[in-house]
Amino acid sequence: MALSFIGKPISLISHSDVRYRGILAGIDPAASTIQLSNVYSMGTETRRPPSEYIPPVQDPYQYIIFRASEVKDLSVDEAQPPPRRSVHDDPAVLGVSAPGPIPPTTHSLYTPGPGVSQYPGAPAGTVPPQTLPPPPIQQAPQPSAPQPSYSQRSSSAQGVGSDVPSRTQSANRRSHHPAGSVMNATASLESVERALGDLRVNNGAGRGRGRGGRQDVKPLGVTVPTTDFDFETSNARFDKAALSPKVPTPGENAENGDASKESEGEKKDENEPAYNPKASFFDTLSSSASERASGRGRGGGRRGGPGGRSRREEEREKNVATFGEPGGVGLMGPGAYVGGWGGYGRRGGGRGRRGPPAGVGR
Amino acid sequence: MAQQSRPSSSASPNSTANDWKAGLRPPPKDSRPQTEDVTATKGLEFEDMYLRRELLMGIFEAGFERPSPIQEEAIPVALTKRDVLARAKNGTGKTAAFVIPSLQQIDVNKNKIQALLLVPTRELALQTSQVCKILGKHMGVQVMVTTGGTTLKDDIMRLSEDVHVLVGTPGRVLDLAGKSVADLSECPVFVMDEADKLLSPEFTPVVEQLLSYLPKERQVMLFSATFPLIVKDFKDKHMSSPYEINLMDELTLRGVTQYYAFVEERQKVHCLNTLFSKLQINQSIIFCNSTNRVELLAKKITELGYSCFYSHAKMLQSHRNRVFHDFRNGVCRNLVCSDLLTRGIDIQAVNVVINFDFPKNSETYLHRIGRSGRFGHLGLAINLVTYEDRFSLYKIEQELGTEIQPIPSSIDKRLYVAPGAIAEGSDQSQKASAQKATANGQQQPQAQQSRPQPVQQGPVRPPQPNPGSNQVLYQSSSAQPQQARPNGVSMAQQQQRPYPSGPAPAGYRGGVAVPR
Repeated sequence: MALSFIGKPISLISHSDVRYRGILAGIDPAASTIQLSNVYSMGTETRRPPSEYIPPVQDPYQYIIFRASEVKDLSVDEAQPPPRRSVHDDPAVLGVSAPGPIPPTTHSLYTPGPGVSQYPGAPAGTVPPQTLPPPPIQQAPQPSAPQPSYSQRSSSAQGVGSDVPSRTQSANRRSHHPAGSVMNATASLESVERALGDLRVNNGAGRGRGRGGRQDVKPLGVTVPTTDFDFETSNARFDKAALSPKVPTPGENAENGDASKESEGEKKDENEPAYNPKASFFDTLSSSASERASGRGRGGGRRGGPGGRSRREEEREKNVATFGEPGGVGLMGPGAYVGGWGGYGRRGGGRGRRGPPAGVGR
Repeated sequence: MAQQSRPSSSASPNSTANDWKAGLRPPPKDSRPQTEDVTATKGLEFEDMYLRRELLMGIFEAGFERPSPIQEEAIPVALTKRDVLARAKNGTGKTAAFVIPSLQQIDVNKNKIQALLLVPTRELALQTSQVCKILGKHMGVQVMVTTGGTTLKDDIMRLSEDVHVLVGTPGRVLDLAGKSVADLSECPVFVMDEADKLLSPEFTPVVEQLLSYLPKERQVMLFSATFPLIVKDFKDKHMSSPYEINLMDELTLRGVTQYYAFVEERQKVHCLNTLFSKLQINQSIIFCNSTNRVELLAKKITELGYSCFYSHAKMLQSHRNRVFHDFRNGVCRNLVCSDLLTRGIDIQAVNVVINFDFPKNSETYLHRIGRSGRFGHLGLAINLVTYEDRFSLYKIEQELGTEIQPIPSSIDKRLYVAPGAIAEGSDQSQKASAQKATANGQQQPQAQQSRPQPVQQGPVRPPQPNPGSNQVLYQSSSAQPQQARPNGVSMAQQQQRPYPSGPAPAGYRGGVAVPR
């Protein structure tokens, strides 16, 4: 059911006690990752002693993929009012104390000092939020503080990402939920946690590579304009005629795909077409079988190395380009490809999950 | 083999004893225009084929009037028990071309499997067995369908009863034969539909093993629209001087107009949205290149406020079946799927196929676009082509000897909408959008408003309460088409609508259509 929370604002706390807020964009059981989009790093807030304080970061990351094993806690947030930016934007402000009813931020903005090195606990490979020395003062904890407005469609270009610091310890789940977020749902929470539980189960094997600090930061950006797609203009950018054999593939040298293309192209032009009923009952059309055969014959027709791994990554990238999310999980929940007709699940019906991965504890 | 106990009657057209026809209730006629892909016949009648009366009754009751070109060619030859290699375009009647002669050779008094019909996918197995049941209705023939993804136990139980015709996918049939549960030792008829697919490297060993369970004296028949050279190996090895029938002067269907739209990857959803709003889709099938993309797209389409089903190989079989069944019955207008449903699937009401992801090879392309334009009717194939696809586009055009045109800014409805539905279609959508407007003050993509008009398929299903009516997942609200709702709100209106029984209002109604 966790997948029905896709699109919902989520708070995620990593093992380094940094809280991230963002829109749940996907959960990938295969890779044991959780993807959030439009992510704000809230820093450690009050979860660490002042000496280990990590401040929040003002600007959202477009897209962060978290290693499930490094996630300590997840909760679904209620929609929140937009952040009150003004104060934070002022570098002169060191801290803010709660002015009456308006929820104060716990965080201050520090100008990053040059030469300040990474925060202890931040793993290699992390692009840390602006890092600074621990703040001298710790403000009153107000976990539900600044809520960015989660517009899923925002499309500022962003290439920064942050990995969840790794500190290997397993599911030591603390039930820390930012105030204001709890309300939405015990049920939701359960579900998310369950999903997380699944991820951990799945993660068992692949744990080793968990530490690498690899980051996937993807642009989020599939908006559907209200205007009609302009076919003519778009087609005008494409010169199909230019594809004819004289201007063929740039690689004349025999590269995998190109070679077959060219040889086929030549077969056609000079000899016979792929199908000539007068000559033969049979045809030489390209087919999925022939594709596979030639791929094998040429020793790994796939670009980018052996195995399906790279192809899968390629696809994920493409999916993000097309749909704004990588996919890779049944819409109904991890591991459960539930069919495309029924009313199961997505809208909160109870049955989303079939064949739950082992270890679903409920 | 021993011919049946019943007299085979060949009712000649001017026979006086035509009263047997009187009781038949064929479905209403399909008045849509057809291309010569199915009309260019020599004029042979089913009555001329020396078929048994009980079989003829089934044929006519299914709404068949006269044989299509491939049926005209293949049935008489197949009845001589000769091996057959038959090549005909998508949706021109191949299924009936092998089912009819297979049934004709069955002796229903003999409790043995007497015809084995192999197909590459489970959905296709269901469809084919349905055709067998309908055509064989008056013969009392027992048809069994068996595929992977179901319980073996049920199949074993079923096989303890009479089975004359076994329709299935290779793996399961081999399983049953290997366990000696299915006795193929007296099965004289062996048919492979989509034969080239069944003879692709992953299936060939299974098929060859399976053949070893059949008697030496058997008739082998291969049908498909594509016959790559690999089939020749099989032919040389396992067939004896097969009779070759090739009705394909060209590969593509006359009735299907092909367009491409050049897009960037990130524009695809937008492009599709525009297509949805502009086209008069009766039913559409939208192909993606992976199961993930199928799901992602289905989700996106729902968010856009349209309804759709999806199907792919990683789903539970029961769900796949349900989607297939409901889509065929017109419960939903759009189906997003992977290449699982590329071959053989016959849904007459589909008039638009969209390649959301352009296929990588000609064979896939050809079979995909053959999902529209069934039985010589008109249809559209629209390809979203990215810069990366450009060589595939070129290659496919070259190999198929066809031209894929740039999509014009407006597409003539006469190219893909049944004449009766053109005027009516606009009527309908206006009505619908008026309704919508009062309902929620929003404008709606019109093509999506009404339910698709189901065309009567050969395998006629009785109207029935729609089991899915209160649980339609990808049927999202039309109320907020514009944005980014994580998921659509359910559309009460649509959900409450009962199964369309009785005469449907529009031009697609009434169609018969010859099942294949």
